[in-house]
Amino acid sequence: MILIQFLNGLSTAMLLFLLASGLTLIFGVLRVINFAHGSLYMLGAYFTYSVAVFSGSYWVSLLAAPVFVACAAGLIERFFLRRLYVREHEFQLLLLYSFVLIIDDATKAFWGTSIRMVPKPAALTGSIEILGRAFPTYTLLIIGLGPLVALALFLALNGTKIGRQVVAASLDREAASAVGLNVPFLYSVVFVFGAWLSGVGGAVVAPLRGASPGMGMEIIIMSFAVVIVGGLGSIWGAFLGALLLGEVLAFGTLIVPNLIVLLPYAIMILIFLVRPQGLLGRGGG
Amino acid sequence: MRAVAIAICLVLVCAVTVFAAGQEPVKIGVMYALSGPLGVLGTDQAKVSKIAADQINKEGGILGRPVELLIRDDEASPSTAARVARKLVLEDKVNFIVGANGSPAGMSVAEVASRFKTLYLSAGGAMTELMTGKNCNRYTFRINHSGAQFYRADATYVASTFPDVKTVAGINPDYSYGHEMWDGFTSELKKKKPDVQVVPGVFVPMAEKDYTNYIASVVDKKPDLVYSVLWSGSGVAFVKQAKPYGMFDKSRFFLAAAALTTAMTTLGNDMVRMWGSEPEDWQMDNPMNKRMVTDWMKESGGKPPHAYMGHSYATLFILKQVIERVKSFDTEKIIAGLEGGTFDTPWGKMTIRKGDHQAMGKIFIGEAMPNPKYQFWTLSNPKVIPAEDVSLPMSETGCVMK
Repeated sequence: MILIQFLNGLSTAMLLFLLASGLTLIFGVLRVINFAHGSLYMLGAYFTYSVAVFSGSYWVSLLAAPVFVACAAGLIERFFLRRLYVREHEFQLLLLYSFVLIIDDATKAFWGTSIRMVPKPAALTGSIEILGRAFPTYTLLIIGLGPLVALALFLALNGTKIGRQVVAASLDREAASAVGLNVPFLYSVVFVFGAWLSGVGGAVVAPLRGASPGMGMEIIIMSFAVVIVGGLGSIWGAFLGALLLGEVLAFGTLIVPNLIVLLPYAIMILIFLVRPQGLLGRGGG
Repeated sequence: MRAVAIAICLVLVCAVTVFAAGQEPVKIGVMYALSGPLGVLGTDQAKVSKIAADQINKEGGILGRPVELLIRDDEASPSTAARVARKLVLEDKVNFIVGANGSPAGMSVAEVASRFKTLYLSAGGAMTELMTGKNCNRYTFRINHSGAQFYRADATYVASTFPDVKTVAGINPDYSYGHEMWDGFTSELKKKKPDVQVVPGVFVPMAEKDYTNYIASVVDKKPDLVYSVLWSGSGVAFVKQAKPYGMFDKSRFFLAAAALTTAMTTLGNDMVRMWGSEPEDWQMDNPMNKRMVTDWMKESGGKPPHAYMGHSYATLFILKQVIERVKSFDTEKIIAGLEGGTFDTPWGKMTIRKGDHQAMGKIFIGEAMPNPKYQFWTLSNPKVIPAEDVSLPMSETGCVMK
C-alpha cells in the first residue's frame, strides 16, 4: 500500500507541476502573477469534454483542448494584459482576477453547473497489478507525463533560440530589448505557452475528476503553494515543490487525515520563514 | 356618446382591477443551490418546482389564486441562505418558503421562519438534529427524510440482506452530516450484527474532488461492504476514481441516502455494481409520479428525476392540498392542517408527524442494475421501507416544539 500511495502522490505531483510550471514561467518572464491560471485549467477540462463528445475520441481532445486554451489566453494577453505591463502590478492582478470571474460565469452559462464526465480512453480504462494491488493505467500516464514535460521545457529553454531569448528576457528585459530582442513577442509566447500547459493539465484531469465549476479555484491555491515552496520563477523548483506537496498530500491523508487540509499550507509558511526565496529560488529576489 | 365610451372604459378598468385583486398570486420563495458543487441538485430541483407550479396553475391555482415562484440561489451556504430567506420574507413578502440544499442552509432558513413566523417546508437538508430534532420549531416542516430514517433503514437492509458481511468500511464527506450518517449506520448495524467489524471511517473534505489519496487505505482493509453518503457529483467522481483500484471487485458498495440515482444516470460505462437507498423511485406506478416524470423527462431530454426532486415537486402540492383542506392562507391554520395530516405524493400517501414536523415518507433500497429500456442503470425491484418503521421515536428526537 505504501507503494500505491507513493504512486498516487506522484500523480498528484505531476498534475500540480503542469500548472505550477506555467505559473512560474509566466512569473519569471512577465513578472505577472497569473491569477487566471486555474480558470484556464478549468477551461481546458471543459474543452476536453466538448471536443471528446464532438469527436468521440479522448486523444483528439487531449491535443485540441490545450490549443483552444492557448488561443483564449493569446486573446487575453494581446488585447488586455499587454496594455497593463507598464502599470502597477495591482492592475494586472485586478484584470486577471476579473477574468477568473468572467471565465467562471461563462463556463456556467455554457456548460451548466453539473459535473461533466469525460470517459477515459478505451486503452487506459483498466488497471495493472503492482505487487498484488490494482493500480489505474491512466494514472501511470499522468505520472509519465510530468517528467516528459519538465524535460521538454528544459530543452526548449536551453536548446532553442527562442528559449534562450525567453531566458534572457526573464533575466533583464531592458537589456534584452536593447540588444534587439522582440520582448512583447516573447511575453506573448510565454503567456500562451504557460496557458497551454494549464490546458494540458485540465485535459489530463478531465477523465479523472470531471469538469465542474470551481475546479479552477481549488487547484490554483495549491499551485501557488507549489510555486512558493519551489521558488518563484524556477522550473525545477516547481518540479521539486510539486513532488514534495504531492507526496505530503498522499501520505498526510494516510497518517494525519485530520490535518490534511492544513498541511500543505503549513509547509508553505515554513518555507516562507526559513527560506523565503523557495527551495530553488534565486536569492535576494 | 363620448361620455358613454369613457364610462364603459372606466367600468372595464375597475372590473379588471377588482378581478386581478381576487387573483392575487400566492408568492412562494423557492431556495435551492443554483451554483457551486451542489448546483447539480439544486438547479434541477428548482426546475421541477416550476413544473409543479405550472401544473398547479393549469388546474386553477391554490383556492383560485395562481402560484408565483420566486426562485433564489442559497449557494448551499448558511449565511447566504439566511440573507436570501430574510429578503424573501421582508422585501418580497412571500407567503411561504420551500427548499434549501444541505442541512446548514436549511437550518438558517428554519431560524428565519421561526423568527418571522413564516411557514417553511424543507426539501433538502437531512441532518437529523436540525429542523426536526433538537432544533425543531413550529414554523418548519421537513418534507424530505431525516438522516436517521436513512441510516436506520440502511442498517436494517444490510443486516438482513447480506448475512456474510463481516467487515464494514466507510468513506464519507467530512462535515457533520457525513459523520452523523457513518456513526448512525455503524452503531445501528452493530445492534443487529454484534460480530461485525467496523473499520475507522475515512472522511473527505467537502470541496475535494480528488479521492485517489483516500482510496488505498479503504481497499487495503478488504471490507465486505463500503458505506458512503458521498452525494451528487462527489459520489460520481469517487466511483470513477476508485474503480481502477479494484475497490468494487472485492467489496460491496452501498451508496446511501439519495446519492444513487445521480450515480446511475451520470456514470455511464464507469458504473459498477452497487446498492443504495433512495427517498423516491421515479419508476413507481402512481399517477402523480407519472405526471411529474413525464413532464420532467420532456424537459430534461430523457434524464430521470434524481435525489430529492420528487420531494421538491411534492412540497408545492402538499401546500396546495393543505390550504384547500383548511380553506385559508392563514399560517397558523395551515400549520394545524399539516401537523398529523396525510397528503398525496408521488410515492403515495404520506403523513407528517405532529410531534417534530417530520414527514414519514418511504425509503427505497436495492441494487442498481442495467435496464434494457434505458441507457442508464436503474434501481431494480427495491425493497420499500415505510419511514414509520425506522424513524427515531419521538422521545429520542430531542424536539421540544417552540
